[in-house]
Amino acid sequence: MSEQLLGSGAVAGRARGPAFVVRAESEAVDATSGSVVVVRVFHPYFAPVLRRVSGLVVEEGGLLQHAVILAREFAVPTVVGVRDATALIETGMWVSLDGETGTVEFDGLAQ
Amino acid sequence: MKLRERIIGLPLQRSVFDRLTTAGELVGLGHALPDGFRADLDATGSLHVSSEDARALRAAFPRRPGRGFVTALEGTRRSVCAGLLEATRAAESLAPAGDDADCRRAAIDLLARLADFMPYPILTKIVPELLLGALDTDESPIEAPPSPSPGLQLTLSLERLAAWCADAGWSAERLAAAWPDVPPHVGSAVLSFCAAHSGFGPVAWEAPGFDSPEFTLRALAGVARPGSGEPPPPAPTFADLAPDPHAHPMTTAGALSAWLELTDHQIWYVRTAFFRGLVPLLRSWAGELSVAPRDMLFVTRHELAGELPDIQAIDERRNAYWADTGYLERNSVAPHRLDAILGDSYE
Repeated sequence: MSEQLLGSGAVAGRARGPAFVVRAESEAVDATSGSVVVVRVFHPYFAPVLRRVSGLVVEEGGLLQHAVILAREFAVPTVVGVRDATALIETGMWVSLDGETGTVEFDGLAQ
Repeated sequence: MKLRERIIGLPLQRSVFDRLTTAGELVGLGHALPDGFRADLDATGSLHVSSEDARALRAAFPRRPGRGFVTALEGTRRSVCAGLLEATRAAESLAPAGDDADCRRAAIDLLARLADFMPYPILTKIVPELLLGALDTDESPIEAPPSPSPGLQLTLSLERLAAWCADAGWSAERLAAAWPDVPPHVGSAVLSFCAAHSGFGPVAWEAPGFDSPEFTLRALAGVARPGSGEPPPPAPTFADLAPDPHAHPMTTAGALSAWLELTDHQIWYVRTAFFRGLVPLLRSWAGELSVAPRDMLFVTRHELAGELPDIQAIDERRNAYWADTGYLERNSVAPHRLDAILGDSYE
């Protein structure tokens, strides 16, 4: 059964992929191709990973933050303001997100 | 309210957070916070910001900012940002050949400019939304966010480096396996990239970012681009990457654009000041004082400007820093990291 979280849709589009949860600062650079990056704050130096990931889930709210500006430039579907996302989602879980409605669903470990 | 957990560990960097209380004055709203803006770093390096004071700033911010308000807001921001850039440039141009007294003055000035700047990263969580709200009640045209953003510039630059390395026969995997034993022209291209992009990384100076060849090689491994046949990418200059604090007009829309640009560059300012400006000066100053360069990171800016603590106090601070494994893991700080940054010109 899938769980649902709600944030603010920041960059329109839908994405689905295995989660890549960033817990230590320098981990984001290792995000795998096609993954959905789940992070507390998305900094500008993480930008190169936006070429290869399918979506972005950010705990920090606010539609004027780095994450939104960058994700728009790279056209990566993004949801921001998703509280406790990095605590509730684990790397490898399948995540679906809707960058328009702000919904994030995750449903167990990736196969 | 804890805004950021365990973000700063080095005493020198912590000491540039000592002017956060000026945040209200910087945006012309000091009258709303007569006791100053309550924000500080605690003993674990976590940043605390008073929600009550943030609300007070929001409430005092004019719904329709007049010309005088915007001029004051932007005049101060321009002055603080330009002052930090100028102090960074001055520091970079001095070391390592500058006169000792000039180097010391430049380091102390740069640290003071950083302290003046540090309230801005907190203000970027508040002011841009207020400016956007003001535009909604105004008829000013909204400017698009500055583009390409620093993140996109970094990405394009990294892709150019990856393409050039691939053309030279050095895939990211081969580079990572062989580093640092690579041909001089390849090593030089990577190191030039790192020096030019040292402003891109976490807010903690010593947490690895694109200043670090190892980190950069990890980032290169994720770049899926074939070789391009182009010549080696020229390393961008300071001027290529530095924002122009005076670039936007003194209007509400111009101010919003300037604050969005500041939001994207805030860590860049802080890391660039450190890696390009402060590190060479500290290295040179440590030699003069006969202390290990890394130990310059365990004193405060006021101690550098006045009297240095004794060796025992520095030892205690260094030991406490390395004992905080939670901070070190969170910021990916390896045991050799401080020596790698500051070199070993004394020992």
